[in-house]
Amino acid sequence: MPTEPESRNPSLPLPDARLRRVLRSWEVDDTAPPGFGAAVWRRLESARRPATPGLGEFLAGWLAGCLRRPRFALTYMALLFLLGAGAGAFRGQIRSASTADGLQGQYVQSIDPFFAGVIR
Amino acid sequence: MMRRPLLILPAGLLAGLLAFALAYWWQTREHAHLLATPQSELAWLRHEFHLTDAQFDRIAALHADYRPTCATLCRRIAEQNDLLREAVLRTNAVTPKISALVAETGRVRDDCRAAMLAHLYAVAREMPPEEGRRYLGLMLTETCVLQAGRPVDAAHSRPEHAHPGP
Repeated sequence: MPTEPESRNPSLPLPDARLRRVLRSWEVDDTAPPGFGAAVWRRLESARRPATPGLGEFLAGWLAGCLRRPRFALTYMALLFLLGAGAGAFRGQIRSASTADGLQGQYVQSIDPFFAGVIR
Repeated sequence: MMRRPLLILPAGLLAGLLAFALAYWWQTREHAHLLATPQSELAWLRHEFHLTDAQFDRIAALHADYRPTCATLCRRIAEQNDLLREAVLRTNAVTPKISALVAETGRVRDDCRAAMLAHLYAVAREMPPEEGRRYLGLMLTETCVLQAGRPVDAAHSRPEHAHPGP
């Protein structure tokens, strides 16, 4: 909207009749563009909806929810304990067999002169 | 506790690690103890063939008696090998001297095998009969007594340690 010069007193009548006519004929076109209302509602809806969580966030939330259940938490602890024990026993068995082989070799070395590498 | 999933998660992992360590220790404790024993090879023999204290003491005495014999045989084999190597490298054909040295090397090896076999029998006799048979069977596979019968891959799979003898 056109503004009046700052030096002019707004309570005084406009001096120019032509200017008054122009101002009276001035109309503002306030019709919204087509689809404006729908677009506004869409934006409002999307702002209201929470953002979709990522996979990690989803899994963390799911796991946290599960671990809050006592039965699941106990199962989880027991499972990891059993897995650890099984893996430890398996690894220990391999290690033990290897140690036994080494000790057997030491014994054979101690009684077998050929084992000493004298004969190659 | 059940309201704290962030604590339960690492607690489960910790429980798994603890279980692993416990099981590993349990499984290896006997052999770890054998390794820490001064004469670990004899400790292995005792463990492997379920020897009583008395049997073990007699076998340990036999072992101690045999060690000087083994050392002597080792030295004779080494000396004979040196002589043979020197003679072989000095010429380019099989001389009578080389033939004699080859024969002598064979005799020393036979003496060695016979002495070792006598020791194996003596040790086996001190064991319970079943364990004695198992001991003999294992030693025949692992030592040079049955040289020709030993599979090549088995011979190559032996650990290469220095001989504890001389």
